[in-house]
Amino acid sequence: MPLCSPYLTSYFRTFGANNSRAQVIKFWWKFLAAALVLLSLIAGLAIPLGPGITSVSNTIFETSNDLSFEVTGYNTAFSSEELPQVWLQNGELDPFKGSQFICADAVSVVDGKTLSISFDPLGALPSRICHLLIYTPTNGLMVRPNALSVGSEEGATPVSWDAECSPLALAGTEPGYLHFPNREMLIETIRNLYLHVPMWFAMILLLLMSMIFSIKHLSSSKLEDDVKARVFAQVGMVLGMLGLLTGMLWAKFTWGDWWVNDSRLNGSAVTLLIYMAYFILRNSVEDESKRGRLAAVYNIFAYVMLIVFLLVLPRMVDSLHPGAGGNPAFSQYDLDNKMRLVFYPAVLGWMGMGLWMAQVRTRLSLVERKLLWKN
Amino acid sequence: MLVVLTNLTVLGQEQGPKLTSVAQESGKYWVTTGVASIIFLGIVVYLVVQDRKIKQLEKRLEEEA
Repeated sequence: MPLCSPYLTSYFRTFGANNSRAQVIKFWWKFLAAALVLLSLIAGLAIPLGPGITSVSNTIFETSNDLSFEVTGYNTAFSSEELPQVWLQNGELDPFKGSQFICADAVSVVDGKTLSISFDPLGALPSRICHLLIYTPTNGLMVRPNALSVGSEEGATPVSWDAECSPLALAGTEPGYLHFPNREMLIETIRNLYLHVPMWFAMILLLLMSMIFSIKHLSSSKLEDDVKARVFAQVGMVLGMLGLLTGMLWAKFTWGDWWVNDSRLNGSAVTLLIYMAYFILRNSVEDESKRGRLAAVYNIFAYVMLIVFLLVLPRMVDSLHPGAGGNPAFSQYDLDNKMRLVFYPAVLGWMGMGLWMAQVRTRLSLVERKLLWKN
Repeated sequence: MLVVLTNLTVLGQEQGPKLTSVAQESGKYWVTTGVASIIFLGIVVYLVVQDRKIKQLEKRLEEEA
């Protein structure tokens, strides 16, 4: 980096051996934030997904006939040396309560990612939906919910259950290496969690800081506080727009459309519009002191609306997002423990980066003001 | 730093047989990771440069005052 090296050398020198310890303390968080975001980018993309079932060749079957189909895996390593065990589960998938299992009669490995499976005629089943479970010691227990459904039960005799055929003892078995969960709908896009959610969290923090500086401005009338309130809201908006874009990309893949009628999506759009109005309001008043006070009052109300639209309303109604309909977000159902290893550093990192950007912009604005007064 | 070190330690673990990942096999992981890291490092370098320039300006203004 020949172009940057003089700047970097000088930058590092500012808090190097010649300077006080206070300066080191002053700057450490910037580099920690950058390191955490970089770590989350690298780890979030490089850690592989766990094995999963991508597709089943024959999804509708008749219970009175033999059932044969091929299964394609994702990140699997099927091998004829450790022949997979296969079950069909009829009933509730999670947490296996009241479910009945049927063992496959023949399983053969086509290649590392493909299995050929056959069942004898199953008989009349209590539920028309069957889930597919496959286990090998290397891949762990893989589950494909709603993999097969009964097309016709004509001439089928009632199913005879084998009590010994059950994968319950293997529930939760996973491969030994570090991996992210292979969720049916999300697949590789699960990694977007490390960008989309931390950006929103960083936005919420920055807008909170903006509101705090607005309150400070109202109590002290210092223009510096007004500048800080404006800049923190600007950087928060940038992160909010990035959060919205990453969310739209994710929605297109998982929900099939760029924008769906979801309470959290609509709430986020309304929030960003409210903050856009904050900047329009600022620009519409020429008198600096009046502008500061007016914008500060609006900013306080804007943050209250943010809490309502982003954090309260989506929890009270049904939503496609986690944490809706009264459910706690980031519970064991939404966030795997292995994902927390990358997710929490990403949240801290993006918050730190947001604060760094806001600090640089604030200082620049204040220097600009000083230069303007001087001239 | 503790969080970073803890993460790196965990990432460095080899607990069992590693399976082939579809995206890693095709090289998409490494291209995406590389591009994302380079863009991000570019932003960090830009921030560092801006930070330093502003610091110089602040110093100059202080001296002139």
